[in-house]
Amino acid sequence: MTEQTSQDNQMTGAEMVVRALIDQGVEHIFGYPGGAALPIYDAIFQQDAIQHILVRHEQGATHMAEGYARSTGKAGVVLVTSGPGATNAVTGLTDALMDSIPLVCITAQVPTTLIGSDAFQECDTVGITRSCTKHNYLVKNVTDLPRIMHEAFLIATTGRPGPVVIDIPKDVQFALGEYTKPDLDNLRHASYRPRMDGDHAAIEAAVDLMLRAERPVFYTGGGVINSGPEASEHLRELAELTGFPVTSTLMGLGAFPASNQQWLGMLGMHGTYEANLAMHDCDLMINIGARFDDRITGRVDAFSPNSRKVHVDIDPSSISKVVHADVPIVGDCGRVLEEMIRIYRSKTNEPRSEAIAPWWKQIAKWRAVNSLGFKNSDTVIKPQHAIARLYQATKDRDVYITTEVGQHQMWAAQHFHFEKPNRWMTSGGLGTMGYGLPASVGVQVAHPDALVIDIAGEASVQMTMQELSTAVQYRLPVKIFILNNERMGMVRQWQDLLHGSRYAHSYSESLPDFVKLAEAYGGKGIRCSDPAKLDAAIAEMLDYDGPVLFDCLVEKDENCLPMIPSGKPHNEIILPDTANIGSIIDEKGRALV
Amino acid sequence: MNANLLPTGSAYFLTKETQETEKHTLSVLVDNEPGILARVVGLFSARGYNIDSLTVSETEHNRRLSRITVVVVATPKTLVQIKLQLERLVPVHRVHDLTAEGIALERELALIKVAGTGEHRAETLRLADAFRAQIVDATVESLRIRSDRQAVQDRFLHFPDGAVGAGGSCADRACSYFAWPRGHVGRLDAFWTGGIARASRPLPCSRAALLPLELLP
Repeated sequence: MTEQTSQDNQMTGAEMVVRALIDQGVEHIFGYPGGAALPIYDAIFQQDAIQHILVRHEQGATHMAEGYARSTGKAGVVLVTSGPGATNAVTGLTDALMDSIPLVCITAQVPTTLIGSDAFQECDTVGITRSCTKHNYLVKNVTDLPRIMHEAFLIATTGRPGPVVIDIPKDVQFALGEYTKPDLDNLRHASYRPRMDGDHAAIEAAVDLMLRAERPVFYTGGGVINSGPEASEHLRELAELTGFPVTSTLMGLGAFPASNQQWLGMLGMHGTYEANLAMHDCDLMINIGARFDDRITGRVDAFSPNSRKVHVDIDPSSISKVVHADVPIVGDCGRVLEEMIRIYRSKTNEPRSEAIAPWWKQIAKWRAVNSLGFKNSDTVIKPQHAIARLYQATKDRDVYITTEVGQHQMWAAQHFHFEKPNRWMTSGGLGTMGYGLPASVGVQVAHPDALVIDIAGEASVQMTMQELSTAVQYRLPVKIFILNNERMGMVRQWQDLLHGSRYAHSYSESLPDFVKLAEAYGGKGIRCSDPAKLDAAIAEMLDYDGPVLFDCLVEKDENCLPMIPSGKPHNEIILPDTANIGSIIDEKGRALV
Repeated sequence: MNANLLPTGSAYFLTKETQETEKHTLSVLVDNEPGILARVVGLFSARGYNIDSLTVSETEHNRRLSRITVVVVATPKTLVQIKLQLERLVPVHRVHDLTAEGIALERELALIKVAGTGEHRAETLRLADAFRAQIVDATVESLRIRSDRQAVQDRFLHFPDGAVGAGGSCADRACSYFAWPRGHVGRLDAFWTGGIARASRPLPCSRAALLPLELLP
């Protein structure tokens, strides 16, 4: 290295942070300044390659980064200060860990000399975030900083993605050191080596089962989305090649097009009748990038009792954790799917339509039940109807949907339909109320020209409502579509189901006037309570060039159905025509979550 | 359906645990970096696994690698999960289930402080000699004896009442006094009248026997 370049590479830790972010191709970061983070903020001020989005609360920053990451496939980057900045980020980090979202979260720390002294705004960030990150670092020496910055991106984005925290003390941000950019294409870690290619013999065994199956089903999950758009292409190709039905978890929606004849809809606690019954009665289950979550399996000892299970997952610990896999395949979903296609083609080019025709006939009978049906009304807006109309009004546009958590989330999953991956951002594993609004802001930052809608509930949206201010500041025209039933609807539904309709604190009182609230923030507010005026109101929302809070007053006591109650097998699903859900569950079932 | 016939289980109707638990010794090769022990024990507590004993020390100074030897009691299914979950940790290079691999050599160290004078002291010395325990420290009123754990359990526990007595702090001191070279930390287990310290880890020779160099990353 010449003296000149060596001189160029001399910089402060804070400058290294910014340089490494630029070298990683980062264009946006979400953050909030504070005392310990000031040197990094100073470095950000003196460049314009990276745009910093100022949030209103650090939890908002993490969810924005999640929305950004989920909709682009790139890592989302967060920058927060020490102490409360770091602790406020914990919910979003945990959310990202549960849903395998790649985040790099830089937390500032008090100077190394003060660590452990209970200094102002000090907290044990690496201790607190150890169990809610894929990995975390405390940088004690500026010479380690360039390596750690790049290693963090490698760990966050490869294998099973997840959040990585880099805790940087203020004196390390000030310290001078030499920045070196590693060869990013060949960056390897001494002990961290995710397995990408599935075992060939196992894939061949899986294909052999597929060629013999009479009642097969593809059960796909978020792993297909995380593997990249090619994985979704491969899934479509394999489904077409085999003629097998496809269902997906909440996290996997969009990997397979909802308009396809082979699509059964979402499965699980609020999944369709046909998807859940197909899972229960199949003889071959091909799990691609899903993890047998308890919302999917219901009662494990009665889960799909007569099937062989193929499980493809990049995380070896997911396999046989909950449900025994007969054919375990550790590898990247995209690569394994590609190999499955190749091997399948080498054996036959015919779909197995004839052999599985009776299976499809059975599925048609289940479909005829119309488990997503609901009784519409002329006088009050049904929440399902509102989502169906929103879908009709937006389906031909470049649309991204985020949600909060609760009934509205499940209705959105059931009644909004996705054709492409990376269009659906929701908090699945952690179930974080307040995820959707900031996530929509993050998505809009990544896709400034797209239509981004947060389907929300009036309770959830108030948890991170302040981020509307962020949307207004950066002119991000997100649409917040609130299904307002003045209830924590899912809690209320469970109280009906399990607690004798004693509604302990599951109603929203003293609600703000959302229209005035939107205006106070500098956005637009729309209210609608009349089914006849709904379409016009949605059109008004879509036409407005700026953030909108849409207060959609809906039926207050609608239940989200179908539903498999906790502890019940798939074939004991509650269908929409059930009159009194309070009599279904016995004493023992009441203890479940 | 068969579900109706089965008893309801715990929170998520997980199948009732029917497997017997087993005691296994896991050898975990990790980067020797700050917080690595917290990562490993944090994983055990977060996922509800039980640690029976734990030893950690740097074993390859040049490559900054440490070996954590952890004894766990779990069902075979959980043991597989423990191994896989440990391997998920970024600084973990390799996890060996020494019990399953069946070639491990293991020794546990016992350090005993025996208080007493006169006849008791003489009896202690005779017993120590008979069972090849070493006297490693002595004061006017007490002796410190090094032996292995099995011998302690088999023989020294038959001491007459009052012949053995020591506090936990003594056990701590005894253990630190007898720390293995380069700062091995042994679990302290005062399993009888608070007087016995125990440090466990496989003998150094077992490592070479167990892990041919080419197995190491």
